[in-house]
Formats: sequence, C-alpha cells, structure tokens
Amino acid sequence: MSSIHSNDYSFTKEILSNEMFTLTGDSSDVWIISVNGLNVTTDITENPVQWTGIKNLFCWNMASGGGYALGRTTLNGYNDFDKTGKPTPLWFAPINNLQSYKLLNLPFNAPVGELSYQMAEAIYYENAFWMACMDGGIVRLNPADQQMETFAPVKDPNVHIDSYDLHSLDFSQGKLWIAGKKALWMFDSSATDKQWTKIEDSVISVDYYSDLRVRSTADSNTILFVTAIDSINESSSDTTIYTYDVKKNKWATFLKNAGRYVSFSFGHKNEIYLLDNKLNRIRLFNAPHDQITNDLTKPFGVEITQIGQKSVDYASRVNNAEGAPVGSILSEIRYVETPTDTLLQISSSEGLFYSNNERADNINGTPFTLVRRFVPIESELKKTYAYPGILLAGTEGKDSYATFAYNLAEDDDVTIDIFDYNMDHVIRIVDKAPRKAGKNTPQGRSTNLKEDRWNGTFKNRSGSKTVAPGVYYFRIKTEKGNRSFGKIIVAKS
Amino acid sequence: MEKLSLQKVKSPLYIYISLLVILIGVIPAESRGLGGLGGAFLRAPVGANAFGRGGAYTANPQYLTMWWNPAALFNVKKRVASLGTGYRTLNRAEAMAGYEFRIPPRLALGLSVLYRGDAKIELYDNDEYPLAPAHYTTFTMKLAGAYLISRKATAGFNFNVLYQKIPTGGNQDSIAYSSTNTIGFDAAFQYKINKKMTAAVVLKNIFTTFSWEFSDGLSPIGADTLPASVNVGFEYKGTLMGKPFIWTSDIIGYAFNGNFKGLDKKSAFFNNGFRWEKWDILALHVGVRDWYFNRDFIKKPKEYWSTFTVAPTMGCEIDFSKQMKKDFKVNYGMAFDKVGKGISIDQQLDFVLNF
Repeated sequence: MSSIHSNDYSFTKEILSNEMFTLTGDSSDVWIISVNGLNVTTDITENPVQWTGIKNLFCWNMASGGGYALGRTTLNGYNDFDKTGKPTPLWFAPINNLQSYKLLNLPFNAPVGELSYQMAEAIYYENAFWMACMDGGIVRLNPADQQMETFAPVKDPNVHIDSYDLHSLDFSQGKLWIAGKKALWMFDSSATDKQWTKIEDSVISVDYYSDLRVRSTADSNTILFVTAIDSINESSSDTTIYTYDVKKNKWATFLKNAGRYVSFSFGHKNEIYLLDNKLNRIRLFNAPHDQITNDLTKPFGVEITQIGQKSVDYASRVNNAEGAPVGSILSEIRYVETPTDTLLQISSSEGLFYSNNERADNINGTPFTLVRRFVPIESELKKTYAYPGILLAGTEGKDSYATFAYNLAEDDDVTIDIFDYNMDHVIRIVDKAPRKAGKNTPQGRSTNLKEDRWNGTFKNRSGSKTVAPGVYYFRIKTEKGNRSFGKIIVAKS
Repeated sequence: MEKLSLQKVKSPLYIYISLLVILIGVIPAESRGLGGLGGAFLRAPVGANAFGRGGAYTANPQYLTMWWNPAALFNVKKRVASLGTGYRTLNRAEAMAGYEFRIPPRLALGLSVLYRGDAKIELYDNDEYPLAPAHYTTFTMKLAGAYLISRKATAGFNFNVLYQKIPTGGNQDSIAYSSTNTIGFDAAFQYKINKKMTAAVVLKNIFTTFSWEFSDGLSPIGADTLPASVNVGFEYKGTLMGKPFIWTSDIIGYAFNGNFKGLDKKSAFFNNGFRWEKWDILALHVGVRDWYFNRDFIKKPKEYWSTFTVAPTMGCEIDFSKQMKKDFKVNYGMAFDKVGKGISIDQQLDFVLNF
C-alpha cells in the first residue's frame, strides 16, 4: 500500500515508521531513514533513548560529524530531481538544532535532468564533509560557512566516462579513497596539487565497483575493502569483496559470493559484519591480514560461527528481541566503537535492533533492544485496531499480516477471534493467551507482535485457505470480561 | 382453526427431523460455519418479519418472497410492495425494497433490491497512521418468476445481480476502492401439504462467482465462487390459546459451491421461528437463528457446547388494515448478535402494502 508524501517537513518526537532503510551516524548518534522520513538520536546509549523525527525528509547517503549532518534529499522519497529537473538539494543541519536546517545546491551547472552530478555518498573527515558526486568529482563542504570546493580527476579523453561515476568514499591515513564505477582513486587533499592517483586493478576482473570501505592498520597501512559486482545482470550476478594492501600494492580476495546486495561494517579488531539483503542474514567474518595470499582464487575471510561456547547466531538474537515480530527484512548493519561502548545497530522493515555492548569476542547472547513505532493506545481495551487495516492475504510483504494493537489495564488472558460480515466465526487467533498490561511493557501496549496477528486465512481440511475479499471483524476479549472490536479489510493479491 | 394435532403432522415432521439427524451425522466436526467463505453479506435474513422469526421464512413467505422462496410468489393476492431498513451492530446497515405481482392464471413476478454495507470503517496503515474514512458496499437485485403447477405445487426461479465494493488502498487523504459484480440464480419448489403445512426447497446462489479486479496494482485473484445453499423450509399452522400460532423452520445446508464443487467447510444451520396472532392488529414473533450442526453434537457434546452460539430473535407485526382501509402492515424484528457485543442488537423495520 503506497503513501503519498509531500516535502513539507514536520518535526516530532515519534518514531516515524518501522520500515527502516538507511542507517548512519558518528559515534553514538544514529540517523535512520524510513518510509516516512528521518529519525535521529544524538545518543543511543541513553536510557531511555530520545528520538527526534522529521516527517517527509528522505535523505539518502547521510553523513554526520563535528556536530552537523548532511544528506541528499529526494522528492517524494524516490525522485532525485526536483520539479524543474535539477538535482535535488542537500539537506544540512546542526545536530543540536535540526529545525535550523538548510537546503544547499551542489556547485555544478549540470544540464537539467542529468543524474550524473548527484551526491552519491558523503563522509565527515578533517572538519569537513566530503562528497562523491559521480561525474562531478569530489566536493568538500565546510560546515561552518557551507562553502563548497570541487575536486575532480583530470579528464582523460581516452578514458570512458564510465570510469568516473564516483559513488563511494572513505578515508584513512589522511587520504581519501574513492570508488568510481570502473576505477578506484586515492585523493590526497593535503597535497599542494591535490593529487589524484588511480589504483592499479588490472589483476582483478571487475564489471562494476559497488562499495568501498577502508581500514587503517596499526602499522600505518591502509587496506581497501572493495565490493565488486560480477555482472550487471541482476538476476544472475553476485558480488566479490576484494582487498587492496596499499603499502604492498597487492590485491587479495576476502570473500566470494558475498551477496547481491550487501551492507558492510567493520567490527571489533579484524572482524567484519556483512548483512546479505537477498538472504536476509547477518554474517560475521574475521579478516586476518596475515592470512592474505596472492592467490585471488582463495578467499582469506573466515566466517565466525562460534566464539567460545556461544554460537554467533544473530538471527535468533534479532527474533528474540523483546516484542520482536517475525519476518523482519534486514536492511543495513553498523558497528561503532566508542571509548566506553561497542555499538551494533541493524535497521529492518520492523524497526531498529541495537546493542550497546557488542564485543565480538564477548558476545553474551542477549537479544537486541528493538526500537519501533508504537502509537499510544488507550488502556482497558477502550480502543483497538489492526494495522495495516487493508490486508493483502496470500502475499509475502508487510501487508500480508495484520497486527492487533490493544492495551490492557491489567495482566489478563486474551482470546482473539475473527468474524465475517454475517458474524460467522472465521478463525481463533489466540485462545486465553496471557498478556501483560500495557503499563508493564516497554512498548506501552499488550500486543504480542509474534502471535497477535492474522494473515487472512482460515483453517480447512487441507490446512489453511485465504478468506474471500471483504470486511472482517475481530474481537478481543479477556477472561476478566473486557472486550473490544475492530475491523479489517481483506483484499487479495 | 383446528387445534394442533400430532397425528396429522407426524409424517412430514418425521421427514423433517430425519433430515436434521442425517445432517448432524454427515457434517464433519471441524466445520464451524461459513466464516471466510464469500457471500457473507447475503446470509442474514432480509425482511423484518423473517428477522424476528429466527430467519425461518423459506416455506410460505408473505413478502420479499424472491429472497426466500420465489415459488411462493403466489402468496401475493394481487400486488405487494415493501420497503425496509435495518441497522446491525458495528455500523452495518441495510435497506431493502420489493415489488411482487401476479399475472393470472399461472404466473407471478417479483423484483427486489438490497443494500448492505458498513459505512464507517476506520483503517490504519502499516505504521499505525489513520487512513481516510472507508466503507464497504454491496447491492443485490433479484428478479423472480414463479409458475403455478397445481393448486398445491409451485415452482420459482430468481435471476440475481450482485455487486461488492471494498477499500483496497489509500492514505490519510483518500481511499482507493475495488469492486466486482456477478450474476447468479436461485431455484425453488413449494408444496402445500395441507391447510396447515407447507414445505419448500430452495437452491440458492447457483453459478454465482465473483472475479475481483483490484484498482491499485493488485493482480486479480481469479474466481471466488460463492457457496450455494439448499434451504429446506417447513411451516405448520396451529393454535395457541385459541389464536393462530405458526411454527416455521428452516434447515439451511452448505455442501457445495455455485459450480457444484464440494466445499471445504460444509455446514448446516437450523432456524426456527414462531408467530402468534394474539391480537387482531398485533402479531408477536420470536425465534432462534443460526443454530449450526455437526458431528460434535453427538460425539463430543462438551466441545460442541463450548463453542456454541445462536442468535435469539423477536419481533412483531402491526396490521393497520382496519385503520387505513388498506392492507398495510409494519414489521419490526430484532436479533441479539452472535458475538456478544454487549447488549447490542441487530434490527430491521419494514412496511408492506398489499394492493
């Protein structure tokens, strides 16, 4: 079910949506883009965490640092061009005063409708924001006065334009490392002539570079982790993650078949987190640099599945987060170490999972904490509703299950039934299931996200079958005699 | 009127009860009604008279006969017009109208329309934001014809047109709807056993199949064929305290769909109603509706009774004929809903003019 958004930003303290995508931040601040806008906290280690929401702000490729935040806006959540055909502006704000945001235009006189000068990724480093702007080069933004400078590799007429398309960047040892579509660059901003160096990559066969991350080593070296797509044919291609040792000028293979779409985050010491969006799973790897070989056919990454006596089972930790629903689709993963905490965050279609004490060598197996949008509901079953109210029975997406939102005044046993328009009984969802009063739950409601939901089916002799399209009525009743009714529309796909 | 006589009623009553016993033995235990199958908006009684009498109106209905038993169109003396409305719990509303007339010597025709819907549906999206107000709408038209086979036997036939509209998308500002329509048929046979007893059999929703075309990018679901029903009705006219006392009873069985393919959920319901014409201008109605049967009734009585529900009904008919010099009646019927929504009740009111 789609929503129509405007670009009228409004500020709130609520979590805007559980369907979360982009995840970024600097240290303990966390920025999340969801289907309804942006949510941010300046400190996820606080208890309780304080959130600010900006409805209708869709900022991709966000970066934060130095007390500021920057991102690329879109129109209606997906258009990269405004109504006149120009690239949409940047959104820039001080973190402690988001309402004083500014919209900044990139310093390009790009032809109207040209995508090739948009901001593809940004980072904060050396007191400035640095942006990879596709064929426009690198742009440096000074947060203090929002002045921008542009740096571009010298255009070689013999080099096809596809070599640029700068879209991913990171920094290490005072240098910027940038990935274009078919080439990798090092940019030394401190050099007098602002030197660009193209990295020799002829030993690896790459169709398309999709991501670049850089790790500094204790011996002042830089290791590039580069994700390459094997083929532009989406249905058949996969990715390979290569490493490039800058000092040794050596390529190696970290991991093959990493996943068609993968979210990558460095972890503790040599660990690396990968979130495979296609398979919807999190994997933890060790990347011991002393295991790097010259043989590109032998990946050196080692998957960690057990630490001591404990298995590294992120799936169960996600599912066992208090109140976690089933069926989360994981989007991005982010690991950050601060002087006092080790933070791991995972955005998903069902909220943000996070841990503030995630030591890879000391995983204690406790579930993540889940951040979700919960609208306050009157207690004593005075109000109840199902969301989404229009259920697409027989599908696999978010609209395939309706969850019943309700709030009990005291702990009680709950029975939930579904009836059709003629009040004929369709199915019993739960039967005298114990539920806590909303005041006794972190979400402030009694709903059990795993059980109090309906997928639009009824039981028959062969298992289950989707009900006929129409309006259905659900009843929630408690053993102490309270009851409440609500309505659901079942539309099939 | 003769007093109630068990002798004369024995044979047809035995047949009727035998049918019920057979159904109890045949209906599987896991069948708990028709919930989830299409056509739910068709299953509630139409007409306040029937509403107050437990929905047992198949044998010998006096108006809106096309809904109950088109073969009974010959109950109409010349012409009858009816108009009614109803309100049920959880904002369900309805309105109905009918016109029936005879074409001597052997034909009768009728037309009825019914609106049923829910005009106030509050919906929320995935993130619990409220959507714009929504509604559910259905319309059903029945065009009926009947033929007088003999003084005791009549046959009837309905041609039905059905329409449904449901919300299938939207946001805070507006709702997108999808709709479907279809045709279907009913067939009926009525037999007046004697002056006191009438029996009828009606086969409903033959070849009635909805094909939805969703308006907002959802692919069509294909055919949704409604369950057909076999309605066996029985009426007995007796007396109580010297006044006419009429017992009507329906057994409604669902075993196959409109294309005669077996249903996953086979069900049988037993409706009973009573009418007592205690006064000249006022008749009282009472009944019990939607008493479902399956094998648990005998094999697992504890489980059967733990999930048992029925809808008690009551109503009345006020006859204004003397005051208005015309055959004009007002009917009111009410039913306690099956889901226990406090003391809320479903109600219907209609006006019937014979002319």
